[in-house]
Amino acid sequence: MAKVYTGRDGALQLAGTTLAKVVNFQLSSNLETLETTTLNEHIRVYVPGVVGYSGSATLLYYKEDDGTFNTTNILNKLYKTGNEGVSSNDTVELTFRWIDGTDNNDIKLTAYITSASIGAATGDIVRAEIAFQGTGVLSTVTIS
Amino acid sequence: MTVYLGTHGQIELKRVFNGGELQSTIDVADVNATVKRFSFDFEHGQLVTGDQIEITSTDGSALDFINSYTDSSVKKFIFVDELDGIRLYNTFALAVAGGTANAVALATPGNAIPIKVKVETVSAKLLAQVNSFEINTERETVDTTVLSDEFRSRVNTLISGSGRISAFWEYTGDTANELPMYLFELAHRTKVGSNFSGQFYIKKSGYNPSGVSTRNDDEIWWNVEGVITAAAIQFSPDSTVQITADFITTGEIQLRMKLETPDALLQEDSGDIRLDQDSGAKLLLQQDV
Repeated sequence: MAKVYTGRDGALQLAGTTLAKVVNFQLSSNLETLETTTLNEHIRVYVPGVVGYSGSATLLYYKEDDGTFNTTNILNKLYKTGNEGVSSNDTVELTFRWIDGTDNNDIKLTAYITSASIGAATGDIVRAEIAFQGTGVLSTVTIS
Repeated sequence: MTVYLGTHGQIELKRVFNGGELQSTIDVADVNATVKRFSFDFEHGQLVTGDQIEITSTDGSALDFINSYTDSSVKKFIFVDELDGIRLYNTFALAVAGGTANAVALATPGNAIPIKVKVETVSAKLLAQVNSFEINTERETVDTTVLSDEFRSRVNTLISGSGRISAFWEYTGDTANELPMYLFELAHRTKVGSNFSGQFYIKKSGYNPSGVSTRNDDEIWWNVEGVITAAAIQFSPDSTVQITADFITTGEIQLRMKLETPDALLQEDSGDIRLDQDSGAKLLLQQDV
């Protein structure tokens, strides 16, 4: 049956667990193209280069009844004590899901959190805005 | 159930500055003791007849431009003439009536006195000639709808308020109440702001259409700190001259209800203990029941 999807059908998972209070997410894929046009050619010619994935998401800063925060396991990839900085272990496993009844349309990837911002403003809800950069292959793609 | 009429509502205003003060100097030549008039440099419109002002010398010297006065601070009501000359009075009624007879006696000061001036009105006064008012309170909300939600969700955040006062224009003839002309004067106070403290009554003591005698003294009102944002006048041959003042609130909006009559703290002779700053105000006690 024909169907359009809306935000009601979306979900963002972190390590297989659905994150609460996600307002939006966006995922982009980008292919670098390498030009191979040579002299005497009249039309540009390319070969595929490297594919990459990146995106962003916004979450309401939200405390569960048990005292845990929905953003903890994302924000702690960048907001951390110590002088080690970010290591190769600081990746997250994100699943972008569009739900259609019992069918899930997923894109799953491993990513580094590249930016995370949180603040407070008069008369507004506290939100955490994150950006991520995918690393390695997509582990699941079932969107088509 | 009872139907209440708007004829028994009222507005009480208290004059205030916006937290700032005027700073100037009273020069020796600024004081004319013969006509009990003095002046200092301030922009026209910042002080208005009927204001209760506090004058304080900033160097601690005595305000000796007032006859036989030795303190460095004084609180008086003022009359401001067309040249921004000032006379001091002991009551609001005397101040709005003006004239030299009841003005506080002045004396030529020994030296120039650096001063600061602020409006420090103690009690609110009824605004006369009002024919309607409205108060609007608005609660802002923020959308908290998230992915997977079926219905839009919101949480409440800040409250803001605004309102409008309409009155028949009048500028003189009342020595007990504020007159609508004051709203215009307030709108033109640039340096010290167009602030006011207001009480907007929707139920006054003595008005009791409910027929329940115990509700006779009930009072219900809004306490509002506001600033006049617009003042307009309707002037045409075929209608009454009417002014309209719009305001927004600048702080907390309180809806207050007085359903019990407070006890008064009395003197030995059963007389009320009056406040020094306003003979119409007295000390009250919380009812001990």
